[in-house]
Amino acid sequence: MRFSHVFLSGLLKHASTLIGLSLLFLLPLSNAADDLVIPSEPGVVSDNQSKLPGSTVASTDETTEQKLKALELQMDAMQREYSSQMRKLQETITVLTVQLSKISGGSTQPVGLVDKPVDPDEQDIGETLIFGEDDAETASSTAVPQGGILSGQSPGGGIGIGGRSILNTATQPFNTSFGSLGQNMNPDIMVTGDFVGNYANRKNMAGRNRFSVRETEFGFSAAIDPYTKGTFVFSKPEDESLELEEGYITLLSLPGGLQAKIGRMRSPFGKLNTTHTHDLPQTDRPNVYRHFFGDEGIVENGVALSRILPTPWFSSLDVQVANGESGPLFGRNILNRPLLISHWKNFFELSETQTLELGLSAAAGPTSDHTVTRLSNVGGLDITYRWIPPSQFKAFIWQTELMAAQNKTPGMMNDRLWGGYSFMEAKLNNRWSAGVRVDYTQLPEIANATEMAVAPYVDLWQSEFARWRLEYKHTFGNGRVQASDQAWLQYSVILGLHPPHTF
Amino acid sequence: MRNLKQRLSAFPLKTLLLLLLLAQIVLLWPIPAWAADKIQVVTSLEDLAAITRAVGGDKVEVFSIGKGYQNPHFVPPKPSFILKLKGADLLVQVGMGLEPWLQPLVDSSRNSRIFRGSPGFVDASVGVPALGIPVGRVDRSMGDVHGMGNPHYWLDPVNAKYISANIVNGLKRVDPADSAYFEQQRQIFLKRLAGKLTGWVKQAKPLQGLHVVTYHQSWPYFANRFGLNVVGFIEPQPGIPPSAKYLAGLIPKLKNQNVKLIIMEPYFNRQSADMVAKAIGAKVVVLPPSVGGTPEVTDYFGLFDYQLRMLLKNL
Repeated sequence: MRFSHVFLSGLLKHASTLIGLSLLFLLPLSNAADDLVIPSEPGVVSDNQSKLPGSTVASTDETTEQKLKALELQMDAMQREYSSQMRKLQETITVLTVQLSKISGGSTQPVGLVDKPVDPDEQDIGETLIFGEDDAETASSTAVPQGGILSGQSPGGGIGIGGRSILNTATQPFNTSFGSLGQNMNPDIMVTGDFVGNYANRKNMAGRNRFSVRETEFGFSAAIDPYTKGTFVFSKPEDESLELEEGYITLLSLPGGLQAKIGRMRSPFGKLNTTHTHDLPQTDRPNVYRHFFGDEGIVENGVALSRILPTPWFSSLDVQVANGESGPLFGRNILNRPLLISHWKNFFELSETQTLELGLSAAAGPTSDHTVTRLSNVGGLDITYRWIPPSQFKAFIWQTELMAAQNKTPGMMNDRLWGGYSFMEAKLNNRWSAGVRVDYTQLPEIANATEMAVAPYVDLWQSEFARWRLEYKHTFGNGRVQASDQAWLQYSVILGLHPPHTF
Repeated sequence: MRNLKQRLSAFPLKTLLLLLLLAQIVLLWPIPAWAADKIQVVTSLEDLAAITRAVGGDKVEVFSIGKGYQNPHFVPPKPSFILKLKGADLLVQVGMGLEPWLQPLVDSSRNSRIFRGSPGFVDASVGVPALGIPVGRVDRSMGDVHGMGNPHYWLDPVNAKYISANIVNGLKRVDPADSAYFEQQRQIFLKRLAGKLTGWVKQAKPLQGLHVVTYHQSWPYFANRFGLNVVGFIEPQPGIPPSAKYLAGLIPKLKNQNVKLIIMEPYFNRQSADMVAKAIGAKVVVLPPSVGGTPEVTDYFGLFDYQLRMLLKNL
């Protein structure tokens, strides 16, 4: 009720802006285009040129300095004209290139095709095509197919791997996915943008009533050598400086079927802790994560080991030894009193289209109190059900996480607390999905305070790399928790090579 | 001494115990012996699986991650596939950027035998004469364009000679003792393919020069082999679903093109194709792009049998 009242009064206050906006949208487009006079680059040039001769006639005894200045202006104008023409040429080339690639990609024009036109009446056309003068036989008898190297179709294809020669018969060359982008040796580069417009009716809420570039991420990842892979993600939250969010090396295949990560990473705890902010299924991280581990979840420097257990179903165990900087439950940040985090993930295929994931997590480590070492403990349970039909037009996910904590931080009022969230999301078609999340959290800082929230949301996928989201969240509770309303409009985009999302 | 005692009592012994217990589980859990007598092959697509079965005969056991009815660009990367990859001796991929979902699964497999550049890794696209290699700069404003060219190359049966050569090379690398057997199996496969191909080309005679529209740019190799003339696409750019506005603009362009058929895969939205078909007087034909795309298609030969039958039936 109050929410709508505030909203309406806000609308009235901005009536003039709204009228302006509506005028902008309702004005006929063609007229607007006719009326607009945009000074083009060549126009500027001619303007300058017309002034130059005039100035020379007006004063006969002008100084060298003035002459120079005039010359400079002329040069400037010429340069502008040149660059504008170059730009036009460049645009033309781009358009033509795109058209050309469309032609070669789609039509039956045999662009880049080696086979000669086929005469269907030929008796042994199959024999000719399969066993013809082509290099298929050579390809089979030598270990390296000739075609890949000779056809020139893969700039990265024939290059030796790890310093080995292309004639090495022990392995095969391969086509790299972005060969023609010239990215063969450079790491995959990714930038993510997360733009959030926020409306909230309670003071002291983060990002209240404004548009923000909530978080920008810069990611780099690449194979270091055949055994290791490096991943670095820098993030720039709106109100903070650029920081290293993750930076770790993965040792892909250690003896004993182990895999290790060394560096700074999102710790293996629960389902959503490893998810980056822009990838979250809802605009904000679930309340239980934020109240127990801080806004970013558990992000720690340390070493993590992972092993796939020899069960008939997929079961993996991840254990991390970390400094323990994630407050408010932990925060000692010293390795001789380490924070231990573990996640045991189990994945079951109920049918071809339905899957169930069950996970258990634990985190144990000292509190931020330096005088006495006391351990906080958190246990977590996660359940995820998914239904994905063959066409993938529709899908459904139901994910729940519960956490119970034993909180030993001095000054915290609740020492035994629990919390959790559950959300359901349905993919309605190729573009739209809708869901709702409920939150329940006992707050560590305030005695006997419980915070609850309901948040329905709608997603619109503009493409695989751009998503719009509208979310409303109503928070309420007992103890000293005040009821509040929030609404977000979120636009998340990915530039470059983002690793595909994990299941 | 007292100092040490204090230090010990302050040390989180419970935590240490927990850590030791977990470490013990992680380290000492027995590694299963992959005591299979057959070569374990994992492929990204069922077409590759079908060809591997043909050339590998009874020496191989093949599992395909992608199913024929799924869009090969977007296969859900279920963790259960990691188990399959963990025990694989050979991994066969389509390559050319078709399977971005595959690399994270391979990275999680801890199986260095199938990492890129290892003997157990096969990129089936090597040697295939690619179509649709983009000219100039490639970026996402062009949709899901692949820098290496159009990756749907298995839809030209002639390309099976390159695919099978690559797979046989891989099999020979991981099982040199059976090299002669794999070569022999490949010759049998190619002989049969040549015979079938003669039939297909003859069968496809009525399709020569036929104007068709395809939903996605996945049929250039097929069209090229069997003489179809693709004059348009339902998607404005590869991988970008069409908007109503785009379709409204597409229809007048196609009206005087004498388009007979609209070819689409089972995993695309039929509504858009139906709408265009109705407006321009064409028929929509749903063709499986891969083995397993429909239950009748169980091997590589069956794929072209079925596709050509469906096209001719709808002429």
